[in-house]
Amino acid sequence: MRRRKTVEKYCLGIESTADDFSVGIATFKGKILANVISAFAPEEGGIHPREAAQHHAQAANKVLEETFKKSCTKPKDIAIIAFSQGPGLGPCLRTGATIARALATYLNVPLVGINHCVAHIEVGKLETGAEDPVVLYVSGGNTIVAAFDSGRYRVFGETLDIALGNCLDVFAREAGLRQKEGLPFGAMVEKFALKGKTLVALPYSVKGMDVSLSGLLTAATSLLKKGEHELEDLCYSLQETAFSMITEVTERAVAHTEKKEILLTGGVAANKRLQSMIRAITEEHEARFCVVPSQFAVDNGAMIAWTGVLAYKHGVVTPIEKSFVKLRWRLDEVEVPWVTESKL
Amino acid sequence: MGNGKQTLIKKGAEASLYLAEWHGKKVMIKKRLPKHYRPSRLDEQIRTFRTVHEPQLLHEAKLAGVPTPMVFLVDAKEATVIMEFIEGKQVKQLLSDVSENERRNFCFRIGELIGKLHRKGVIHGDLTTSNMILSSEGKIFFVDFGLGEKTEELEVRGVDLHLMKRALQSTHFRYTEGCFASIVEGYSKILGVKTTREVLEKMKEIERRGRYVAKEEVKGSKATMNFRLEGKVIFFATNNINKFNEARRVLAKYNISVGMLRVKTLEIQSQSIEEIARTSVIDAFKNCHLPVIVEDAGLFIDALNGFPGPYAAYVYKTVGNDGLLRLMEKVNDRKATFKSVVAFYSADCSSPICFEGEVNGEISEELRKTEKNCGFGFDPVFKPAGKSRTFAEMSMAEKNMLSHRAKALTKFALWYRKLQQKP
Repeated sequence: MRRRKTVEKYCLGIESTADDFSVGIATFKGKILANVISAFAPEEGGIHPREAAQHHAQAANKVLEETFKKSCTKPKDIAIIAFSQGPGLGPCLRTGATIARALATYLNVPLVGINHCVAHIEVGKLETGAEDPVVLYVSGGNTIVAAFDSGRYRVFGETLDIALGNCLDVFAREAGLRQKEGLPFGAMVEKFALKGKTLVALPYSVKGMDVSLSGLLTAATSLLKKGEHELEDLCYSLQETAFSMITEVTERAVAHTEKKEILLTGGVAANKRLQSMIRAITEEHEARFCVVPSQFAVDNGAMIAWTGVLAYKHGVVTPIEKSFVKLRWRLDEVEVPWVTESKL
Repeated sequence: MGNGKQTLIKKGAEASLYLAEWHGKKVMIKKRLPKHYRPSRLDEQIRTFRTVHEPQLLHEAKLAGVPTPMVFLVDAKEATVIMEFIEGKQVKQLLSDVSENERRNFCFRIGELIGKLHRKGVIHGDLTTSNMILSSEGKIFFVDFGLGEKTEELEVRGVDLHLMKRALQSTHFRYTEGCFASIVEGYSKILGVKTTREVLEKMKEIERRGRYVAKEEVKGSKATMNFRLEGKVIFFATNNINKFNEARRVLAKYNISVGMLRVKTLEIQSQSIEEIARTSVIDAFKNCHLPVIVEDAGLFIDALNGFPGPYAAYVYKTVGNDGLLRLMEKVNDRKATFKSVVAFYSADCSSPICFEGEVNGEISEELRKTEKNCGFGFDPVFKPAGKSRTFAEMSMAEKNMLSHRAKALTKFALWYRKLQQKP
């Protein structure tokens, strides 16, 4: 036990930006030992931040326990505590941050505040071996096309209003598609879309490198209420239109940066149709297509833990008094000293 | 398309650009190649919409006082535009190479140009420094209006400026703030302090929106639909560039974009131009499956019992204006009527819908035209009633006030525009 401790160091990461509470443990060498996720699934409607936060507080103990059990580590083995400091829903972030501060103080180890979006990219690179990709990060709260340049991940394109995952979720809820245990709303849309045949005209709104999805959602929802189209066709059309827009801006970023890898991550990355579209453009630009395995593509603690390792090794620590959460912490505000300039 | 060698100079995400020679001119050929990741119908719509829309906006931008390349040819079917090649340097490269002062000066000028566009309701839609070229005469050209639109909405102006700022952040992050401040200065010189402040406030609102926001906050955000073909875009099946240009002018007044469809259409032999138009529009539609119009015209001369009528084009090709004048020699009754029928057909139609226009006048005694006008066909021998000049002596704007074709197209435009408002 003692010998192992001198060889391996561990980072425990806490993720709580939105509806998932998750804890993961990563070694300093980049091995993920555990990644336990507890999802908050409301009976109906969207996520209320306070209710989600309550879920996180209640689930924390069990999730932590399970994480230690799965990873075969003990609290005293932990060398650093990392937590997602933003961006996200205030009450949820604060719950995670409180737990992180308490653990760090109790164990007397350094605390590292991590940007949630950076963590998605880093775990994606770790899991897929991508080195310098154009990243498409699509989830319930984020829709971002980013790539590294001069010390930061620069945002090349993003949504001007709602996130892709949110767009699909809201539509599924409006359509009364009930969420099955463990199956997100977006997955229901994907299922129905498979049976769709007719492409219904919906607004296609690409603005420069950015997309606007709210008009699309409004149009699809109002068509749904009119009841003139099959639900399958609407799901199909919504997916085809939204994904085409996202793929177009991703391709723009690839053409602009001339990078040779595309990394697809976030909750919506699991969608097979989106994967096939992104794969098509990687082939066109002779790039490598990398998709993050779903347990690391959704919000998870392991990505926070691994990014905590990277940051800590480069001297990033967050004193307790500066560990307040940042609700609107942009990806391109974060210095990432561990990423080196590509040789291009 | 074009003759001779084409060199690929840029393979962008949206289109490929080729440098080529075209009738002795150095031109840029912009081809929007099919994207196989999206459904082919959607792909076709997007590509044709942008192909047709872009030249219109380039033209509008020019009228607004912003240098843009000249458009020589629009081929909607091939999603190809041939335009002037602008020799010069991308502002993107330039900004990093010049002194702070020069950089601020460039940005000020860019701001002025954006202001001029917005003042005339033109939204570029993709303002980046790689879409701006400093020509050898020192003018800043704006290119690539493929994502642009025509509107004076605050929201869209805000997005346009936001995109400019974002482009600076991602490619010129070392001096974003200074550059953007200068752009705003130039912008407010054109649009005034009050409007500028409103646009900037909108921009800030937009910037807050895209972030990770609690879901309740997002609800009720305004829907912006900027991609609906019906009522906004039409394809004109013709091989006559003059006819096309006339139609483009007329329809532009009603904010309808028009694309030239070069398809060979069936022209039946008939006494009725309406019947000819009806059959040929259905034939054109079969070739393209796009909402399409055709136009057929006839010249009816009273003294010749309505000759040449629908055969005007054939008569023109064989005997020309001189032939017609010879036929009319020593004829006192010179009254004549030009008739035009515009026929529309789309996937939603059960049968073609026709619009008529006519103009009365007389055949002139001799051939009369001025050098730089746009008259064609029998224009040099036709004098509209009450006018002393022939169509060929008028500017296109003047001719479009009177002509049979413009009248038919106007009727069509008024009807077609209404489709747009329907859900």
